[in-house]
Amino acid sequence: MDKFWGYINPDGTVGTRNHLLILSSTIYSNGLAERVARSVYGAIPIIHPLGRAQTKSDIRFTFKTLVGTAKNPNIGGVVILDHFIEEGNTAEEIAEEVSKTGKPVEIINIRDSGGTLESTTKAIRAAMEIARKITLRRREEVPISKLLFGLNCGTSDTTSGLSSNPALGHCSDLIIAKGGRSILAELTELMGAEDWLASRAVNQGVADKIWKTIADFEQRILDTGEDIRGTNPTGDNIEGGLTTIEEKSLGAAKKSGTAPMQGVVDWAETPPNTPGVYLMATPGHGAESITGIAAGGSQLLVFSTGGGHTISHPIMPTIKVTGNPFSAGYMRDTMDLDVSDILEADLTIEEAGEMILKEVIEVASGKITKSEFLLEHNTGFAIHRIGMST
Amino acid sequence: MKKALLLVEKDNVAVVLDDVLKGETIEISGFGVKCILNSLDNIGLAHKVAFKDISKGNSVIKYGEVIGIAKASIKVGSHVHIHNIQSTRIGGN
Repeated sequence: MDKFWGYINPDGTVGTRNHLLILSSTIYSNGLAERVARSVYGAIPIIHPLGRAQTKSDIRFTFKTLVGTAKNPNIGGVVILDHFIEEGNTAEEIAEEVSKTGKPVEIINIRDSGGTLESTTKAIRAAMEIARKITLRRREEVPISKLLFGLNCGTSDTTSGLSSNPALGHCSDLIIAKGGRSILAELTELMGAEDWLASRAVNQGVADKIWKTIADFEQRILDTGEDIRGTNPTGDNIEGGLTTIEEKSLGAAKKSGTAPMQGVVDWAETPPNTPGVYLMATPGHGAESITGIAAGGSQLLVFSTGGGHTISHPIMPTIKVTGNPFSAGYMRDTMDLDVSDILEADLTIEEAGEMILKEVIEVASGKITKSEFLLEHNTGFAIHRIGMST
Repeated sequence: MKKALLLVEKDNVAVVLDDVLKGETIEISGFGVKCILNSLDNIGLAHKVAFKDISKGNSVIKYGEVIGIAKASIKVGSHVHIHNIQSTRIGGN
């Protein structure tokens, strides 16, 4: 299990998918994006409520996210839609960055095209040209060292820290041992686990950065006048058997395994090529977290969920794993993998980690997740905001 | 007999996999360790049982890491929960 079948891109990255992306740059082109994607073969729309009337720092955040998403190795080609001009986040500016990857990119501006119907025709024609190019591409066998994958958890319960998170951690260790990389995120879930993460850092600089990144995020929350630390663990966490914030956070952090912490990256930033775990600065909000991870170039994500979760990123296959036998039952059409035998029978954490690895390789090679099959394109894309609307 | 899981070898608490009543026996397993102890308390599913004696002020270890400090002496077989653990990060629990 050290290879997968992927699409080799002009820039050397490898896609686990070859998507035709219809990217809306602003809320006001969402309608067009949805109409175009609905009308043509195999297109994925990405829509969001931002891109207009944001502070400069926030518009840069939106821009970085949209560029990173379109540059993701899983994208074969892109049609970028715009309704007018929003300096700092125009379709032209996004396209300029994305075209550096060598993939086909087209721009459609609603106003310049003569309105909604004319822009629909133009966008569909552009999508057709790109689709006929990129559908010629074929998967090739590549080493698993080409994999950058995301680790996330949500709707967690007691079983998460005991089974699915440590099993995912073991899977991450196996992939990193073969030269791959993983991204740990969700800073709010790591308060109390800094010591353990920093002890795995490859050098003091990375250790300091882990402490600082988590502390800065905590301070940002405190600056809003709210102290979430006092409510963590929550009442249901405590009833479920958790006691301190350290215990809760360590259970969450276990999904990063034991491999070295190689570095810390910003939201939507691509980690360097050295194998290991990278901490990305994202909030605990599941959809925001996986949006940052995908915009950083992750080709696949494993989502550990005791309670069962519907989340799925539009262009980054999202494998959902549960260790809770009840969730595996009542969310059977949503969970991709059930590792509840860790608690129910004699499945070891290591064996469960190998089960996750097998699923990762199969999905990376083209097997579709349940959410992909159900066309759940809008349960996992949310751009984090740092400022207010203007 | 009820079951409990030892997550990391050096942990001094284990996680019970069923509701346990005071006086019931618990089989602790994980990492080649297999031992049986008597429960001194009622312990809910997924809560922790002390696998070793923990003196007041000493670390409570789960996942191989410190999850808090013992607020009181904890005997083997006791329920380990918010009444006898204190966070080292924030007070109040």
